[in-house]
Amino acid sequence: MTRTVIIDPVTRIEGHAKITLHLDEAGHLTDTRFHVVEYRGFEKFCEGRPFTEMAGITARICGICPVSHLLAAAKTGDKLLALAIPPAADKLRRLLNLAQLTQSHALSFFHLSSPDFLLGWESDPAKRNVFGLMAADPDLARAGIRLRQFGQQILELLGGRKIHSTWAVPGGVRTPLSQEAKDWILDRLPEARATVTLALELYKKLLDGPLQKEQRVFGDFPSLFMGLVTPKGLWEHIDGGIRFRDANGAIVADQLSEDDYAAFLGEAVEPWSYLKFPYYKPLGYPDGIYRVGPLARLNVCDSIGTPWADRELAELRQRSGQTATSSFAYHHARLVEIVACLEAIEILVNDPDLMHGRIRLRASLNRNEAVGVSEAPRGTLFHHYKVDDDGLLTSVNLIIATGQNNLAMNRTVHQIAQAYIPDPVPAGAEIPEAMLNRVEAGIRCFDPCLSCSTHAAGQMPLRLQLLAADGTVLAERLRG
Amino acid sequence: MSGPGVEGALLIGIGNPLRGDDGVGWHLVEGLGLQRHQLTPELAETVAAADRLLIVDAWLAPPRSRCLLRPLLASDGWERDTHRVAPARLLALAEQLFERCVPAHELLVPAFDFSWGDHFSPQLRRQLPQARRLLRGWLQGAAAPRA
Repeated sequence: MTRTVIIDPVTRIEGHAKITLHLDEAGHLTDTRFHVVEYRGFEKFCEGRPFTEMAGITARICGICPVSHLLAAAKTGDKLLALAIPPAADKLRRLLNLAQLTQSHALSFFHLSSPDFLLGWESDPAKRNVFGLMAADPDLARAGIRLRQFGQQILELLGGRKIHSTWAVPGGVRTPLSQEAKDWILDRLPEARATVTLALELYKKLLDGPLQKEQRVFGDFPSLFMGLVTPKGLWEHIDGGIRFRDANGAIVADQLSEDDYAAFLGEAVEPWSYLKFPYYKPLGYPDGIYRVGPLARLNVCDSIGTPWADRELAELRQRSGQTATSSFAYHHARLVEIVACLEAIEILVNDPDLMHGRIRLRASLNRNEAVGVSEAPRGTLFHHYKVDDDGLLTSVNLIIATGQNNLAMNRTVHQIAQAYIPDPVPAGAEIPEAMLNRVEAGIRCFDPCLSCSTHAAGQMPLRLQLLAADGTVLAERLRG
Repeated sequence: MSGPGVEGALLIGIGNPLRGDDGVGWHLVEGLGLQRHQLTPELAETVAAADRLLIVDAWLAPPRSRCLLRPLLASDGWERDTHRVAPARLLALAEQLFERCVPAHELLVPAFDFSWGDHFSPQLRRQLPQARRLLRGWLQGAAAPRA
């Protein structure tokens, strides 16, 4: 009788999912699946709404990455109006996205992932979370909380609130940055720098010590990587062209336009998950597996373009390869990206253009179809709208970062299960919690946002099940 | 980062203003304090900076309950969900991370209808005068005024 282990729901992620581990009759692992089991259908119910509302509506998809949808929707709106926004608006949007990347990466590292590294994979699961971290290392926890707060506060200073702001609009932004807000950001930057320095030092020590095996078996496989780069090939998060690089470092495609995404991205579906499986079309499904997000952005760019971040990028490449292929390197990449964000924020805040009063242009509808793109914390985000002559949406397609990592997340889970689950699993054997936690942690490398990727309401639980060949649940762990 | 307060008093209304009675916390602290869908660890510093704290929330109460204003004590119980923190845990975090033990109360308003919408049920509306009296009393410094 074959068996299956099911992890349901998956914890410390944004959304609701389960993992199933399928065993054959001899107890050998035959398949693993990361199932996303929530569905809400934003793309459908947006039809009929004015495109100008999309920034406000799609920001509601998620409480974690509303800024990403806000910016993608505003950029798509810019293209429907066929206008180029004022420089101050462009830079203010950039500042917003940098703050979003900072706060989201801080959440992922300090709140969601570091408890595994710092408290141990075998530690009490009830305490293996940010609250346990607070008890074990209050200084680090406080610093992490304040780093996230730094990013969130910039979001509030710009958009008037931390989440679900409707500040970015087609044509620009609603309000400028105040002098008081600028001063606050400059005042808090040194502390933010100190915190990420602390986190990098700590994390590198862990990489040299107890996390060596995790680097090898947490989703280390060849794939393509996709992200935005500037025309000169530098790290980019809101404009530029799309680049694909392979695991050997070769540039497979460069400066692709988001307008042509349907030519190079396909979306497959599987009957066991609501999350689509995007792939690089020229290689077909599933060979066209690619990864997006912080690691992909660092892999596709030639350099970041600021001194501290480039030093950190060089060290990441020294440790993990010129093109890092281990999904575990996403954690390191997040910290490097926080460095990049802090440097970019300082440059932007001191840019005189930022304080210019012209921040919004107005125009009538000039196009009936547009695609907008931006880099969300978890990867490249596409919004594709078609509208009628009154500006009412007739079609909406959202391609979300977490979906684009779906194939990679499934492969990562399989690799971890192979490394940590006994082979064969003895009949009736209980699988230790620490092993299942590592399987979950493979998903957390990607910091997936399932609320966004299925455009669904989010809960954070995890369910893991061990299933027999006939579908019988042999073992089950439930968290959340 | 400090929230709007009244002479060192910090009020936090919790709930979803688009889920009927769940929005009563937001409604009562309008203009007086912070409005949040849920409490998060980041609020610990704001709490630690306050002289006293009142959390206002909807309450799935037993039948015939009335508004309840009660002291809130810090608790360091463990939570799995890192996205939201119970009020008692938030107080403990403020103490643990920022070394401030803040006197706190919670005002619980019996709630009856959590369906979609930005309006309150008739039963909850009948509770509002008492809730406002309790809130005013707390603001004026009485720990637990009579309803």
